[in-house]
Amino acid sequence: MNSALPVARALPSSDVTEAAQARPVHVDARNIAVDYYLEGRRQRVLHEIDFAVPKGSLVSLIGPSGCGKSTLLKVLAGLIAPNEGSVSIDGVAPREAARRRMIGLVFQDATLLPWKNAIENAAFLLLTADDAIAKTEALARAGTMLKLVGLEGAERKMPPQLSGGMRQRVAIARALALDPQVMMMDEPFGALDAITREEMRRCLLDIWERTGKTIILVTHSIDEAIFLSREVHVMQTGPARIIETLPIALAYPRNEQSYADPAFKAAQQRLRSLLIESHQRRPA
Amino acid sequence: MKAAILATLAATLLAGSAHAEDKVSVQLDWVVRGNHAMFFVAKEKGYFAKQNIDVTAIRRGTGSPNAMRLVGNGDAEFGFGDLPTLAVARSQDVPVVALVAVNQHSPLAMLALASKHKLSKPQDLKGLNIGVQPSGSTYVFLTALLRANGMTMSDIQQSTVNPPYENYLLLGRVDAVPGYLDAEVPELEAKAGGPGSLSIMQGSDFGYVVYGSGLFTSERMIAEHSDIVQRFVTAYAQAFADVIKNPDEAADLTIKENPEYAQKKDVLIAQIDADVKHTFFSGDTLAHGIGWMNEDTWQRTVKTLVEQGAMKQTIDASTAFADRYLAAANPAKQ
Amino acid sequence: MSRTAFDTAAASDNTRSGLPPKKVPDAVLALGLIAVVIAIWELTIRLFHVPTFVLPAPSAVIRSLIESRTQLARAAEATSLEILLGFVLAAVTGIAIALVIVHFERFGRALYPLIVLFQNVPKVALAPIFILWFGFDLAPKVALIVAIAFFPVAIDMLAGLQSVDSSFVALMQSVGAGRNKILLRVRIPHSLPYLMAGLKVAITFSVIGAIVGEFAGASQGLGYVIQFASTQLDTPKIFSALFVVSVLGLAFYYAVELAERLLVPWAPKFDAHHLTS
Repeated sequence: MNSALPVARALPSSDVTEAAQARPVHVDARNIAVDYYLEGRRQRVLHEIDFAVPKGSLVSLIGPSGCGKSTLLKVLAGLIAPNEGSVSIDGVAPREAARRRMIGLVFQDATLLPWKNAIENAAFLLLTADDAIAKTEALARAGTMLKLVGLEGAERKMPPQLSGGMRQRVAIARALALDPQVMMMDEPFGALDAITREEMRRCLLDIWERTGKTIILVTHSIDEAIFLSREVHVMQTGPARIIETLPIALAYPRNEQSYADPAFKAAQQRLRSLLIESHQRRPA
Repeated sequence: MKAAILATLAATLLAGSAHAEDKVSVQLDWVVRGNHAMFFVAKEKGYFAKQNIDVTAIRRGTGSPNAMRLVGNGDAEFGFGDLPTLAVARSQDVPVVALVAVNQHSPLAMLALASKHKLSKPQDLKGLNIGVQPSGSTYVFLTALLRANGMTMSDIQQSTVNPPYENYLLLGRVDAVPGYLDAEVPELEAKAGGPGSLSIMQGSDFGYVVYGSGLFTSERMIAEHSDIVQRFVTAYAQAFADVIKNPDEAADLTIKENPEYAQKKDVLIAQIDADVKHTFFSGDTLAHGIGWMNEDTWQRTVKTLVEQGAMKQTIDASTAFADRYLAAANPAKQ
Repeated sequence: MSRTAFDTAAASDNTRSGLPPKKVPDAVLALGLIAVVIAIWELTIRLFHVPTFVLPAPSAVIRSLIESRTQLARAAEATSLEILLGFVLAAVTGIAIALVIVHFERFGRALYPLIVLFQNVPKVALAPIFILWFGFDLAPKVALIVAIAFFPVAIDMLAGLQSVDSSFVALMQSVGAGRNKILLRVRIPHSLPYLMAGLKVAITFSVIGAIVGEFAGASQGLGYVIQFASTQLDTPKIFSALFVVSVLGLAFYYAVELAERLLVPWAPKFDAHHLTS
């Protein structure tokens, strides 16, 4: 990959669902089941999860807390092996895909190393993953990614000097530096305040528009899911399953006006009722 | 008439009950050994009770300096410890006064394994590796003994040791150590291989003229409770005579009060015997009674201490001891 | 940034919290407090005629300090050497133990309770035995210091090594990093602030260990001076030697703190100045 900044691409505003069906599946999860052992007893946490993410799309996973969204993401990322079922990322098993740096992970906690500055942190995963790469090249790539996430000028700052939003941007840049095909993000903006969250959403959209990567986002914010995604997978607990996949009929590029769009409101209502239902279905 | 008798009787009875036993405690200098037996004998045979004294505790100690401090501060009424240390204490304004010099001669001796070194005179110490305990009374002994015989510390090699010294000697870490004839020597001798396995050179034979250990009390006791001091010394002197006459019984009574010494009866007897043989008696004890003190010996003690730098300033030896109590107790003359 | 009551306590001169500089810096307040304590002490001794051998007056202690200054200086030198050697060895031992426990997991789990067991043995009792084993000079004192001071280093560093965020470790593992890489690149640097906290405790233990070791048998050093003064019932000298020990301990402690500031600048501050960070 060259270090040049990708240019924003214009996306067709035609019927979203049709376009999605035409695209190849990038991440394909079939019949995923995961059991946890709690107090010696086996508990099924994920049950018959089937879902597919088309290449280059931005999708969200939403559901009540504790419903297994994070567990599902970890399965997709190869951090947990499912008890049943399989996941394929462009034909590769997740574990192997991670090793090949096809996956970029971002968690709710940025977890930056306090003894490294922003650019060193952004280069860290790349340097860890690739023994062959030269430090200067890794730093150059990291620098490009920092520019991409809007942190140009903050490269030398130490983590305590960065705000929560800036730290999360470094975490995103760190994942992007691997040049993955898929970005998997687990409630990445959960710890940020409302205004910063909105900023970060715009930032993420910008990144997506410029890089065209497939992005899977776990969130508990309805607005966020609708604003960002092409489709939203709604999950329910007890044991977790996907109860509905809601396509979002909003054209890209999206901005503040999108919040007022009737399609947005419709999606909001639908998601709300789905979530209320799944909340009520939760085991006591 | 009857009323008067009854009244007198009542008054006497009341007076008797008003004189409940005087409670005192004793602070020893170290762990229990042979020449502590007087306290246990006096307690067990009722000598203290007959003097209307209740000895509530006889506490083992952590060194003579601490014993001086505790008695001087009033934490105990009577104490047993090294009399030269008492002189040093007085030079530091610790208000303690000696009552009975149990060891007329210092029981300190230089010890070596007879198979390796024979000590017949202090000059035999030249060039030897000697175990020293710089913060103990044995240090003064060593320096004073050397000086009295024309030597200095540079004539010997020093290695720091810690009680119990036996190990260092037995392991061959040092050639000689100072030791108390009436304390660790009997046990050391047993471990080294029995009687004769140690070469023993008593300091008092070679110019180390100071008192050993003895009974003492505080200035406050003398000032405010002189009668208790007298009664205590009387009982003590009685027991002292018994210990000399019957070490076996003395050991038994010591064990009675200190059951953990049950297996150590022969050690206790050996310790008493060593004192009987080497330290209890002198010209003074023959003329005036056991435990006697005279000013001349006290002055020599003070002089030795000042010369060895163990005392920063000299003291008036006459105030360091009070012999009137012992005199009034009429001790046995031996 | 919201201002709370704690913010006014942060930073002795308020440069950090952005408030106007304090009129009286903390150091001056501390000295003032000491001066008041000394004054009360002196007055109490004089008013109640407390004997010197029970508690000497500050004036007596100061006099002894001045009179014996060369002796105390030489003793401080000897003790300092013991402290330094012991501390360095204790630090190395503690770090090694922490690394072993983390790297060899099963062995580490078996080793840990043994270390805690050993820590509960009163080392004061070991001091004379060490002299028997190691001889008279520096060795037994250094051994005693190591025995006392390695524990906080090992425990704190262990906490640091083990407290790396588990999802971060998972992140590294997913891109193929092995245990050694994670240990070297993340766990060890992460553990440095914890190690520093452990070293600060260890240096105070080292000072205590040196003195205790000297009590058991020494011919030089501040512990020896204290013991010798004790047998001479020279209580002012005991106190003046204790004073020198305290000052020495303070100097060593702040040296470690300085090292921390230089070597681990990103360490969160664990002291009274920074109650809110």
